[in-house]
Amino acid sequence: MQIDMSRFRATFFEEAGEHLERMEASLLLIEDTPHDTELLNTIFRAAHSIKGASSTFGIDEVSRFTHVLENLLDRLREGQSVVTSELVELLLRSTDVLSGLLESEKSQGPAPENLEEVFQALHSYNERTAEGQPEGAPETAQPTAADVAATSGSRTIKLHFQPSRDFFRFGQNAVMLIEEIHRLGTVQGSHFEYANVPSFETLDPEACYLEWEFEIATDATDSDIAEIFMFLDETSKYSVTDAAPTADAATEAAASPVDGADGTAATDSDTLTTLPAETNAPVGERRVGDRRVEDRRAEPSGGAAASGSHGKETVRVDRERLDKLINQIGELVIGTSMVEQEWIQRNFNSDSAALVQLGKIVRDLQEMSLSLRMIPVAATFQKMARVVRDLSRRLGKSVRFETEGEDTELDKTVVDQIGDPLLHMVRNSIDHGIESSEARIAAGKPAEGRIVLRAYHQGGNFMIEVEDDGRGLDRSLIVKRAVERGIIESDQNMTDEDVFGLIFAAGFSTAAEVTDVSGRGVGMDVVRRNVEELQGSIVVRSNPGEGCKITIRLPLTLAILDGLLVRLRDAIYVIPLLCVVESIRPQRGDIKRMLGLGEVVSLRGEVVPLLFLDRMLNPEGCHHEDDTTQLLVIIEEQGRKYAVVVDELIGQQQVVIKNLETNFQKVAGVAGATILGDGRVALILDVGGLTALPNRNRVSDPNSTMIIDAEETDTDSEPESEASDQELLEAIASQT
Amino acid sequence: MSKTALVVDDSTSMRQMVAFTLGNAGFDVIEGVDGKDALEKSSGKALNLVVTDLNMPNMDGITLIKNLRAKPEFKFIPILMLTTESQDSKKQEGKSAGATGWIVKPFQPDQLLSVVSRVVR
Repeated sequence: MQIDMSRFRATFFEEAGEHLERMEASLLLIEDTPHDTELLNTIFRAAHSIKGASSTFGIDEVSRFTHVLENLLDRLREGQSVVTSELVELLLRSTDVLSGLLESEKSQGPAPENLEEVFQALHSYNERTAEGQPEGAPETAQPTAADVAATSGSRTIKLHFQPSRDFFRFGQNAVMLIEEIHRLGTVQGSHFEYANVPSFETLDPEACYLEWEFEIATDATDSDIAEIFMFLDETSKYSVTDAAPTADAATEAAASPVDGADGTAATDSDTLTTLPAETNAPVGERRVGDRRVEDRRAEPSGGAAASGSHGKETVRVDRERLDKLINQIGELVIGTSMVEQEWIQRNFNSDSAALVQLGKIVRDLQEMSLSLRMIPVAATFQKMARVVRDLSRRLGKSVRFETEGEDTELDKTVVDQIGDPLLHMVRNSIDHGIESSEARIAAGKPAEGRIVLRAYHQGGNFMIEVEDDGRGLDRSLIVKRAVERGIIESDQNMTDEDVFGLIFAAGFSTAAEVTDVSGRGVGMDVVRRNVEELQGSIVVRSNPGEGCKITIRLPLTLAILDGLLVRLRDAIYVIPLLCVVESIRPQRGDIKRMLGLGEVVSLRGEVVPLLFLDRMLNPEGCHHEDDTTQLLVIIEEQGRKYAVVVDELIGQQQVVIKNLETNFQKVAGVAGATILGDGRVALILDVGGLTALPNRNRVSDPNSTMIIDAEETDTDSEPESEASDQELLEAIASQT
Repeated sequence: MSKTALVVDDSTSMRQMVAFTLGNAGFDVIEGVDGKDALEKSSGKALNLVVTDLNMPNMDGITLIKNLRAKPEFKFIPILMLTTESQDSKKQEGKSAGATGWIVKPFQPDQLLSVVSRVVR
């Protein structure tokens, strides 16, 4: 039967990744508790598992690497070498290499650069520690060629084989064994012993009473012979005796009686020679039986001994299938809303108990389906532990890393994307936040710095915090830098929170000199962009000298969104609620036109540009501007305010996000779409993308004004009354 | 009547491979993720074959074998252990615990089946 092994590769890579994560986490802990055997076992088992599977699935490089790694870990586990910080460093580097190696195997890419270097380092570590070994200790070292050589070469052996009474009950087949024995070499003589067969009255028809002896000229080694008998039950016996070249007493002494099927020389005194005399009593059975009883006593009723809470059962599901299910349930929610609306319209607003019930079930189902994709952030936190360790060492700082709420769950899509922002923040904390031990002591703080990574749920949001007890943010320094860089003009009317928020501005960096760790001023603005892409927000709190706390708020899932539904002409749009500041009805004179900015509204003295959604999203097909515009929704993006021109506020609603790219194509300024209860499609605005669109509302530029093309004009619309910018502006203003 | 095999390995890929191979060979397969899980799942079942890894969390293969052998219904069934070449001492330990034989990793499905065919009637 040919089985395609490649079908198991995907599973292998997935589980190897998990093993590596576990290994890394344990390595980070083992430094503090070098004698924790459970941790050592976990680390060993991870390497062992990867090795076993990779060799089976023909992923040779991984198997070669893990082999050396496993040898080293086995030494550790057996107490033959000790955990040092140098060793942990090497092992951590090994997990990196292994992770790179897995990646390269998966993607057929190049192997990690330092593969050979780390491989050699592991190898030489093994050799170094092996040299100082007491003799005989490295039992697991190599299946040495020595013992093979010792027994190879042509010889004549006497092979005595005595099956146990239970031989047949174990499903064994003596004929097959004898055939294999014949294949060892040339059988020069054989003897069949049936003296132990009892009288017919006492014969147990299922028991085996027979014995054999063969004289064979063979090249086979002892371990070749052991292979044949590997399936013997414990009480069956065979022995190999050298019969040649001279069958005198001397060779008799060199006989190597073998116990059981394992090929290990028996140490017990009751070797085979004594057996025939005792065949009435089942000697072998008793002897081994005794040992078994002892074994069990040593480990009382194994089941209970190893008891304790059993891990939750899990089912691995293909990501795509899960997404499809969640999507389909989203459709179901929409469908149900449609039925509900239709019912209300047809039945004069009367309720249907059945529909209410159905609606509840469907929404529960949706919640449940979303929870399927929720995973704990533990793995991401763990990666940070590694970052803290490596970085603090490199910078010569002493930092204690703590995590809280590792089990807090979050949509996998979000978890996948918070890694980078967290990394930047943690790096920043170590590099800029935590002071050197001397400076800390001078400031009356403990020499060891502390960084806490915390996750928790709060009001339907996922909160994640990076807190350090370092020097904190320096308001005046930030202001100075921001003014220098032209980010702000002055810090007048700015709260501490506003000022601290400036560290996320593009091109901002207060590090006196650029280090290779952070300080290039590219980190923190990326953090903010990533977080905002996830529909999240960031708040920074800091007390000078006491530390800094950065809190990120994220939605629990990216599959649904809290939005403000607005109407502009025929179209309904969804504005993510997170960006909405307020909505206003502008007064006459509030809206002005400024060179370079286009129309703006003056909001309590602040100049806010207007955004015309239809113009921006479809500049070509946009037709007339009528005079119904009467509301502005003020949104905030990257600390700047914009006013979205709308006709009507419909209300706040949770919407199911549909990906526009997969169903249509990517549209700048649009994050996705949703289907409303009445079956209509509404576009969800990507506020960041929208405000970055060119020709935002610069109607002063003639090319960017509404271009009316009769052919492209929507036929439903009224004949266009070509409104000039000025007219439009007046129209808006006169509305109020 | 079809035969039932218990396949125990904490490595999902290995377990799937063995289970798939045995399934293709006509076995009904029960899968256990570790010794403890396997012991629970095999309880009250009629097994014709056990294939178990040795190094597993919660309960290792050796302990599983001892526990299975302690039950009269599993006293004579073939139990194969999956080992690596570096585990010579484990083979002995496994045999003492009651394993019928071993399969050395890495192995191909064909090798697994040929070993199985030697112990399953």
